[in-house]
Amino acid sequence: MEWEGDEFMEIKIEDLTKVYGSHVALNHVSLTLNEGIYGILGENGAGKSTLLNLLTDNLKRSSGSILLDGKDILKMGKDYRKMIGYMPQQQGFYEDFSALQFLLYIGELKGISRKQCNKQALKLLKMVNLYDVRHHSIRSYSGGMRQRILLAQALLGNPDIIILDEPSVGLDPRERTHMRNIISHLGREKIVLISTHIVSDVESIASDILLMKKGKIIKNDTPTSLIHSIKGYVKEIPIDDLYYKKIKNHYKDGVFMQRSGGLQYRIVTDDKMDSQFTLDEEHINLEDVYLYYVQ
Amino acid sequence: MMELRKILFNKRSFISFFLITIMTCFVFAIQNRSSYSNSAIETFNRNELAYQKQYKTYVQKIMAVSESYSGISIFEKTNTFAKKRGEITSRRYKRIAGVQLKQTHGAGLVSVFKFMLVNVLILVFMIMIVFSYTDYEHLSLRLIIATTPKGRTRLVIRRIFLLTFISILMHVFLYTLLLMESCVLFKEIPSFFVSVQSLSYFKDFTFPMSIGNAFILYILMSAILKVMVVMVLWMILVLCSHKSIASAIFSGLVAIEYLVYVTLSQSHPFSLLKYNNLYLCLNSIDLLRSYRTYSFMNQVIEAQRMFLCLFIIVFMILIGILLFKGHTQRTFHQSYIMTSIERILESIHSYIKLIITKFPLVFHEFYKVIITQKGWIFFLCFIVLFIKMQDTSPYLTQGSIEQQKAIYSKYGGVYSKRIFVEYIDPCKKNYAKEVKRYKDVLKRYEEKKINKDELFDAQMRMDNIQNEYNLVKSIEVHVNKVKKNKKAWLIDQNGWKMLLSKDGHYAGEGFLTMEKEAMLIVAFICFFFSSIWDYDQRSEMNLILRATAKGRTYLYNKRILMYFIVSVLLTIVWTVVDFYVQAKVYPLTFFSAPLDSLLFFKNVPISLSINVFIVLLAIYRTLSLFALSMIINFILMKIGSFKGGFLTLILFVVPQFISMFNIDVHYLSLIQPVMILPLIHEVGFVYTSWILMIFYLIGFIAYKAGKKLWSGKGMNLWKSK
Repeated sequence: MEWEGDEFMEIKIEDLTKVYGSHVALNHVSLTLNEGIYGILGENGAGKSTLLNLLTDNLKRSSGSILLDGKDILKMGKDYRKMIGYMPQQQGFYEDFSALQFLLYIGELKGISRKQCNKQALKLLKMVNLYDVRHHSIRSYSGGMRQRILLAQALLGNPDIIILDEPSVGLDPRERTHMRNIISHLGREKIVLISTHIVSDVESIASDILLMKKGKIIKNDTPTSLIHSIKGYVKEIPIDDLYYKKIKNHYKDGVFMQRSGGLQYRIVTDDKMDSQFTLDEEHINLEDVYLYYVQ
Repeated sequence: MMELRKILFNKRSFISFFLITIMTCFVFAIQNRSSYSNSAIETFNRNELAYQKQYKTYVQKIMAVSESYSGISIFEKTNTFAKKRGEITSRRYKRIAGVQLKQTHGAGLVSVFKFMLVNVLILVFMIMIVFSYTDYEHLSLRLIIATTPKGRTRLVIRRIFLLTFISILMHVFLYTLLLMESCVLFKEIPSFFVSVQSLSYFKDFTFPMSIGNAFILYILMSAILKVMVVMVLWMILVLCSHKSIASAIFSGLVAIEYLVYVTLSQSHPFSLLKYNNLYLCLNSIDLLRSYRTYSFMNQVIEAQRMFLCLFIIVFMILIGILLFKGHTQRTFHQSYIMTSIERILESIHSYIKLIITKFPLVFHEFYKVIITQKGWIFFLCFIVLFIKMQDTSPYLTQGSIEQQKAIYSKYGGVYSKRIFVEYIDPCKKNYAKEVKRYKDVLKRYEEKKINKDELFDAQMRMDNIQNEYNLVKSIEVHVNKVKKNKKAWLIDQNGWKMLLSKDGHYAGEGFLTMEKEAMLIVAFICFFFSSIWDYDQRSEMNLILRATAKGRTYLYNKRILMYFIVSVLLTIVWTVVDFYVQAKVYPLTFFSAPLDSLLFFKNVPISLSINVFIVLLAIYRTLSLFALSMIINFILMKIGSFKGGFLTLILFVVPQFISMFNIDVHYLSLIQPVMILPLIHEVGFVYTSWILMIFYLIGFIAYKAGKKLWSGKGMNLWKSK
């Protein structure tokens, strides 16, 4: 199925539920996804990977539907999978394959012509800085290199829907920035879903944030709107202040921040407090949003 | 104690130990099945008695020959070298000249001594233990151990003791088991307290001792020698710090040692290498029971003594190296040579990978199965065993067979009366004349007109005529059958019978060779493909594969194509090898004759020639193998890896294996539709066709079920671990 560039793509998730025995992993989730980068945030076990596995049809749904432009993805089968690039959470590989061999193998399964696949694979290997070691066994790769080759295979074939499950696990700060840049360059004409529990991964690149908790999407909005929604709830209290000694046992989830004025204790709460500790909207970040809604 | 517990109370060790025990018992029973019949035991005892009667003469003769060794050399009046050898030999045999020989009931015991497989299996088990000693795959673990106070030299010492202990334990256990099994099979208990020289197998054993003591000595010797062999591997492993390279070096070394042992003669200037050899450590019974001397650097050397000396030296060196390396704990990655070897191997591997990338997907799949999942090991085992089970010695060598071949080649083909006119009728007339003549001779002997010698000549002549007449009668029976069946030609049945009918290589074998071949082929499929789906699970690749456009039905079909290719190749190998062996054993004639000409096939439903039947048989065998592969594949999808391999082996090979012991469970065996011919013999062509159709249907259902399992819409089974 070829996708016309001037048409809009839409993935509509309706009442999607996944139950494992008595445990509800995904609880009646409804969602509409259009072109853009979506960051799915949530703690471990929130249902992020379950949602992505349902989107890739690697898991059988208990109820609900996933429609791509009105058609059920299960009925579309191969035509749907031609459009997706998936990077799983696990660093699973054929260890004895080389990076190039691995990409060519996946390329063939994606139905890309041999010539085209070879061209794309080399380009992607350059992009993820693995070109020089393309003939080495994946066995010899570090965790970061493995993540990069996983990203490369997801991007192979220039898919319209890119699903990335915890893409930055095991990466050092430099590699993380590099990967973030690659994702942000994917363009706005694709649907990119990034599942993570590291807020900074999606903070600067996501057009929309989905906050998940206990199998439900508790918040779905743009980063700006989300930040705006917790205006006045983020406070920083100097630790030498008497007030800190008073509240420290009550707000145990706060974080210590080093500021020019000394060490501060940062908390996110809608409890009424002295306004001198409240931060402006421009000083609030997505991590505060995450802490507020998820924790 | 912890080391022992780590090895013994480990699932892999337990399963291996169990399999080794089972295999030892089963193979021993099969291998010796012609030896434990009453007639075979009687023959053995008779031969032993004959040997014991002339034993004293045998020893005296050796001593006399040895003492008479002398000759003229250019520089001395006597050949001192030959003299010395003679003196030593005479001295050794003198020790056993006076031993009292008694009846041993030792047929079973000799079979136990001759049984080589048990040594190989024990060695494999001990190699596994040595591999478990090397913690290189988890370098951090190795570093932790090395930093503990007892993690270096003391650990090595403990492990050497443990290796020795396990080797002795395995030997004692398995040889006791074999001894008990032999007692049951041969229905006699060996006399352990009589002199070991009472057994002809030990006639050159130059130490006077009882059978029991010799047995214990052999067990201990074999156990210690195996420890030395695996210590060589251990040393290589320690020096290389690389399992694959060390295994390759060790295998190469054993192969070279074997070649040296086989190719060098006793008189070769380097015969020292022949008699002090790693291979001999495995075949230690040969070392123990044979008395040998050879020359090296103009010295007469007694093989056993030299072996003992060198063994002690090598053993000490090995212990020294292991202790030193255990104490220093240096990783070999610091070595320039090893790094270079690794680099070379990596570049070869990279080159192979580069070539593979140029081929279609199915080659990638073969690469995964053969290279990354070590399928080549199963392939090698299959080839070795398949070749080993072939017997190319001629079927029969009596004169009548040659005569029979000549008659069939002269009169074979479409039936004509010529055979009666030219061969059968004249032979019968001649026979009648000879019988009359022989009766006359008998009468004259009774009347004492001729002497005994003349009667004996006549008897000899009559015997020959009788043999010829028997052949004529059997051919006449055959010709009459051909006369009745107008489709049939007159062709020699022997070769075809061996290839297609109930006679195996030797008469009365049944389908034994065919069964063994089919079992090996199916066992190969079970293990060769055991990792095909499991590898995706283990490497967690299934999520990625299933998210690609062609990662479901297309990939599944490609893997099924692999099964098909392997089924075709196996059938080709099977057929070609069968024909090759048959050509060596007994020639096949008249390929274009109608199938009805093979009289052992009853009620052939359609008219077809033998060559067409052979082609059809190969095609149906391929289909059967493919259908069985589909069933195996489905099970392997559910239970992958070795577990699946063993399960499929138990389900499909074991019933056939059990039926070889005349336990009628072959109806449960799916090997039968793979062989096809036993089915035709048992139930005829029509029912065989039905059975095959049902079998193919089951194969098709298994294919569909597997496809659904892998490509189905949303799966719980294939989710990641």
